[in-house]
Amino acid sequence: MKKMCYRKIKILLLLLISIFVFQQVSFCDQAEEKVLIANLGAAKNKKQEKKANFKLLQYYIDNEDYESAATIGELLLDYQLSKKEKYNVYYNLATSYLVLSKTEKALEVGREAQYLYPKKIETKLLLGNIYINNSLNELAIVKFKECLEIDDDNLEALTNLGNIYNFQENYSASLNYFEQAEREAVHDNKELSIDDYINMAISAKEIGRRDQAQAILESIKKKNKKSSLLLVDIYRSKKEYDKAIKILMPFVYHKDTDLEIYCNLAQMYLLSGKFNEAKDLLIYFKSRNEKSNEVIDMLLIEAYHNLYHDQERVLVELRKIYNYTSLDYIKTIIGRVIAFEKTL
Amino acid sequence: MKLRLKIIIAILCVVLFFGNTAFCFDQEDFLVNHMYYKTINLPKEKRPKVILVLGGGGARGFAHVGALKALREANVPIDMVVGTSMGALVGSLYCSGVKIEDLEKIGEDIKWSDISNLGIPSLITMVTSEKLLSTKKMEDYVNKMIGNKYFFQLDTPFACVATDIKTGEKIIFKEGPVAPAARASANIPGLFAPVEYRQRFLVDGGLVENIPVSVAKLFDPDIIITIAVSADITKNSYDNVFFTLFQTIYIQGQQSDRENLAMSDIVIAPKVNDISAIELNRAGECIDAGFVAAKKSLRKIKQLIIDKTYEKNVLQKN
Repeated sequence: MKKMCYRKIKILLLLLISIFVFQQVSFCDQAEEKVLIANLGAAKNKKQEKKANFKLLQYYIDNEDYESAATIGELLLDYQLSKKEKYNVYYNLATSYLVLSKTEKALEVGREAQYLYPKKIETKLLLGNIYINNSLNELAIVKFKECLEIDDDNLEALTNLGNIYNFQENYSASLNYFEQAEREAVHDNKELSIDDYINMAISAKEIGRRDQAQAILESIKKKNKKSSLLLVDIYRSKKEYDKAIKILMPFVYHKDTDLEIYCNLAQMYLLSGKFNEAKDLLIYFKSRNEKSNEVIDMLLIEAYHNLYHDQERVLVELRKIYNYTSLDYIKTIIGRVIAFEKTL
Repeated sequence: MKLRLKIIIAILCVVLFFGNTAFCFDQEDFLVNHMYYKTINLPKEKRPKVILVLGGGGARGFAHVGALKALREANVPIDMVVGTSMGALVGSLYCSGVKIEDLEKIGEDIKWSDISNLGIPSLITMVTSEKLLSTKKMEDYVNKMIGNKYFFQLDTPFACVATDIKTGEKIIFKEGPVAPAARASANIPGLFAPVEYRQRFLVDGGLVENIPVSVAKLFDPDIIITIAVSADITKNSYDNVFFTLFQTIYIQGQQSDRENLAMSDIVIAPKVNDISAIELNRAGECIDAGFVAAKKSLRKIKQLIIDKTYEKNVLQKN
C-alpha cells in the first residue's frame, strides 16, 4: 500500500516538473519575441530599426512563422540595404512565400535573389522548387542542373530532377538521377524519402526493370499503402501471389477499410486458389461497410462459385449487381460474365 | 536550407507531383485486369488465338524487343509471330526461346559487321566492281543464337516473308531451316546479294509486304497485334542515288502498309521514326520506345482478349 502511494507521488511530481519546464520554454520563446519587438520599439534611428527588424525576421524564420516573416521581409525592403542584406531579405521572403503557397510572389522575389548572387547554390535550389510549384518544370530542370554543375552530388537537386522527369514520364532520365541520388545518400549516410523511392520504383518499372523496381520497393523499411500496392502489382505480374498476400495482410490486421486493399487481397486469394480466405475477407469487408460495391460483390460471387459451384446462384447474384450498378462498363462486363457462365 | 524547411518544401513538391497522378482506385480498371487474368488462364482452345505481326524497319525493328518485353510482363498470350525483315529476325529469335534480356543485350552490342560484310572496303568493292555485299554472317549469327533450328522445332509458331526478286512473288516461310528464311526476309535489295534458296533469289520481304498482316490472316487468328516501325518518309533525305531509290521503295510500300494496318486489331507504333534503318547504335532507344508504346496499348489488348473470349465461346456454343 505504501509502495503504491510512493509510486503515485513520483508520477505526480514528474508531471508537475514537465509542465513547469514546458511553460518555461514557451515563456522563453514568447519572451524572446517580446524582447525583439521591444528592441524594435526602442530603436533610435533607421539603422537600429533595420538591425532589429533583421533579428525579428531571423527569429520568425527559425520558428517557422512564415506569415510574420513575410510581413517583416516586406517592411525591410523599404530600408536602404546593402547587397548582402537585400539578398538575405529576398531569400527569406521567397522561402516564406513558397511555404505560404504564394508561388507567383515567391518567383518574383526568388529571381531578385538570384540576380544578386547568381552562383549561390541555395538560391538555385530554392528557385528550382519555386518553379516546380509554379508548374514551370523545364525551368526547374535548368536550375537543378545548374546546381549539379556547381556540386555534382547535391542530393536535393538529384532527387528533384528524378521526381520532375518521373512526372514528365521520362523514366530513363528519372531513374538515372534517382540512382545517382541513392549512391550519394548511401555515401552521406542518409536515406531518400519514401516518396522518392516510390517514384524511383515507378521509373524502373515503366522502363521494364521490374526486378529493380521490386528490389527498391522491398528495401523500403516502413512501407506505406502506395509502395505496398506497387509491390503487389509486381508480384501479381510474376504470379507470386503469396508474397502479395503477405504485404497486404498487415493493413487488414490494422483494420484498414481501404477498398483497394481488400480488392487486391481478395484477388490474390482467388488467383492462388484460396477461395475460403477470399470469401471470409470479402464478407468481413461487407460487414464493415453499409454501401454495396460492385467489385467486392463480384469477387465474392467468384469465391462462392469456386467453392460451391452453384451456377444458378451466381447468375442470380450477378443480376442483382447488374440492377444496382451505375457503372456502364461494369454492366457490360456482368452481361458478358453471365454469358461466360452459361458457355464456359 | 534548414532540414524542417526542406521537408516542408519537399512535401509541397510531392503534393504537386502526386496530385494529378494520385493513386485513385480505378474500379473499372481493376475488373478489366481481373477478367483478363481469368481469360488468359483458360485452356488454349477456349481463349482467342493471338498473332503478333512484326513489321520491317531495319534498326528500328529493335523496338519489337521492347514491345515483346511489355507484352510478356503483362502475360499476353502470343500464339504465333509473323515477321518481315528485322521483324523476321527478332521474331525468329523470340520464337526459338531466346530470352528478352538476351535480345536486349544483342541490341546493345550488335554491329553491321556481325551480320554482314558491310564496311568501307566492301562498299568500295561494290561500287567499283558492282559486286553486291553478303548477309551470310546474318544466317550464321541467327544459327548461333537459335541452334540451327527448323520451323517445327520453335517454341512458338513463326512465319516470315521474303520477296523473289526475279518474279516479284511474296514468299512465305513456315517450314524448313529458320536461319536462311530470316536472312532472306531481311536481305536489303541493291545492297546485299539475293539469297539463293530452292531455286529462288530472295530479298527483303518489305518489298511486297513490310507489315505482313495479310499473311497473319492466313493462320486464322482471333486477334492480330501489329508492331509497326515504319519510317517517317518525310524525314528521309534524297540527295543521292541510293537514298532516292530507297525513298521510292518507301513511297511504294506506304499504300500496302496502310491497308495492312487497317486490318490489324491493335497497332502498336513505337516512336522511332526519327531513327534511320541503319542506325544500329540507337537500338537501345528503339527498345525503350517499343516498351513504352506497348504498355500504352495494354488496356486495349486486355479488353480485346476478354471480348474475343466471349465471342469465341458464344459462337462456338451457338
